[in-house]
Amino acid sequence: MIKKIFQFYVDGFRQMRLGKILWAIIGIKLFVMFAILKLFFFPDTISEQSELRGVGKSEFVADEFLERSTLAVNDTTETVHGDKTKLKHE
Amino acid sequence: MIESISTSLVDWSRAQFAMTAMYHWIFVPLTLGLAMIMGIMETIYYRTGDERWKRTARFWMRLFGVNFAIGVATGLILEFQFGTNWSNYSWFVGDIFGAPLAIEGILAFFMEATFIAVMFFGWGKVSKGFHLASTWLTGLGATISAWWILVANAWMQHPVGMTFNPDTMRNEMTDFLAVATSQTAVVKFFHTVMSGWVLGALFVAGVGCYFLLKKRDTEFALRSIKVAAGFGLVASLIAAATGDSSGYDIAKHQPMKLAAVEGLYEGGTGVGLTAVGVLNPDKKSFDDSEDPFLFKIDLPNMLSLLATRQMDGYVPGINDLIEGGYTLPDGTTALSADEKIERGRMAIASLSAYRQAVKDKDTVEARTHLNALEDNMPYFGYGYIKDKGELVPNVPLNFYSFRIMVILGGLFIFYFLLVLILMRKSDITRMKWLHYVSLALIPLGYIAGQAGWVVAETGRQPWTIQDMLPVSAAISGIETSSVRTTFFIFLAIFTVMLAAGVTIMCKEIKKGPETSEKE
Repeated sequence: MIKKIFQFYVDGFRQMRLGKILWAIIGIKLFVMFAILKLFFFPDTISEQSELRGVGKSEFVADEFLERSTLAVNDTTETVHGDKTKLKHE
Repeated sequence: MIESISTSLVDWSRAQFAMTAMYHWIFVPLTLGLAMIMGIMETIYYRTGDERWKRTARFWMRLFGVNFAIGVATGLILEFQFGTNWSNYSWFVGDIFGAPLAIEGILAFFMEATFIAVMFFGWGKVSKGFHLASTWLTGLGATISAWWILVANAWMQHPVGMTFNPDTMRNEMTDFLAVATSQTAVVKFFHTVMSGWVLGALFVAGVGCYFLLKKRDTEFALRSIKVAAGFGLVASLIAAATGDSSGYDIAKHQPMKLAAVEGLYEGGTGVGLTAVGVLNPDKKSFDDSEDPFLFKIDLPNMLSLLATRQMDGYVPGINDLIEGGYTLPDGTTALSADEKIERGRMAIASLSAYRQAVKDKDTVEARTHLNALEDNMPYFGYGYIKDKGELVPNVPLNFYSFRIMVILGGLFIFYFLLVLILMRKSDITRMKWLHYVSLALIPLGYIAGQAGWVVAETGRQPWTIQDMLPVSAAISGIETSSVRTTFFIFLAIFTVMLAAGVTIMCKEIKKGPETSEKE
């Protein structure tokens, strides 16, 4: 059974005409995507940057989210700590 | 690590994602549409035993193969971008996206890879029934793949079935069924897949008319056009119906998108739908006094009907959504943008305080802040909004894209109906005008689909996840130059691929259908 299936695919690939060109395109495309683009242009940002900061990934993302809010809202640093204090008093 | 998040980084990251997604969407809809049409043609062959239908099906399968080969894996580039350009977003949603995308990957690989091989290699080697089943299963595999991708997209438009875990900083799925079968996902799936079917039908009818223009393979062309027109009419009518459901869903979950699509600044009851209109280019902001339109023709009460299913239903405009204070369908009062921003800031402050309390091992404090976070979490994303004007999407882009999609959709219904009538009553082989119109409609089919996605994605700006995460918080803190570089690399690669695809496709079309079984 397995041999038959294997032979089915082998025969199919052998008899291809247009398919050969298409497979070549798929192969080149996958090579460019995984061996060039993924390797050299698409690093895992969180892994890299959390390692640089010496913190865990979730810690890194938490810092990012809190820092971004500081960037977005002028007084957020104060707000964050202010609210924290306020909440603590509550 | 960069010091601050610039507008240019946000824009380049968005542009890169949009460009990749738009290229990807050139190939996907044709795959979905052609898969169904070749399935119908092979079914006719299976039932009638007429070899001409077999040759017809095989011709379209060849073009399906070209499109599939050029388009396959273009979607993977989007996933690369998640990890690099959108890493915060990717982490934030990881657990929700993981399941649908994993199912999509497994299904795409096993179903499509198995049955596509039988479809192409199996003629004469497997039984007619098994071959037919393989053809349909290839199409079904592609369609199910689309389902899971659209589930992921729908979740971003209307997040459900999850809880935010402040310890891991991730959303965790609590209800898989709610995610997989949300109203937004169901409507989006049918509307999107139908648009693919319509494109497939336009493509087959257009290419069929090319053969009529060339006065060759006339019988084959007429057979193809007939199937395409019937299939296209059904698909375009369902697309119109699901488009209406989509509008209703958007009105409930993304009212700002609906308001932007309509250029509706001041809402009200019994609101009309703008059938035709020209926006005032001097209208720069939601709070200036310029009239939004230079000219428009309304269909009375139709927007209220679409959005609320009542002729006199209340539809909020952009200013109403910013100012709040109107009564929501559940009887509560809508918050203003300022109030939402305040709640968002409280959520972020609570998150910060909670994490500090956990570090200090102060469980009582942690519980207090966690409760505050949970109360304000639905507005988390608003804590990143500097100016409430950011909450208004690009109105002209949405307004015109929506009308391009709808007008073309209407045109397609008319076209398919016309072709069916003409084929029934007369001989279309000599109607050159129809052949040219059919060819011209192929690019318009692509434009309609792209315009639909422009509305879906730019209409929800500034959000990557509705109300929870704006683009400014979702992107990675990387150099703008690296995003710009990869943008142009992709542009070059995709353009070369598209050119190769179109060239091979044209060559195969020119060859025409097989004339004998040996070919």
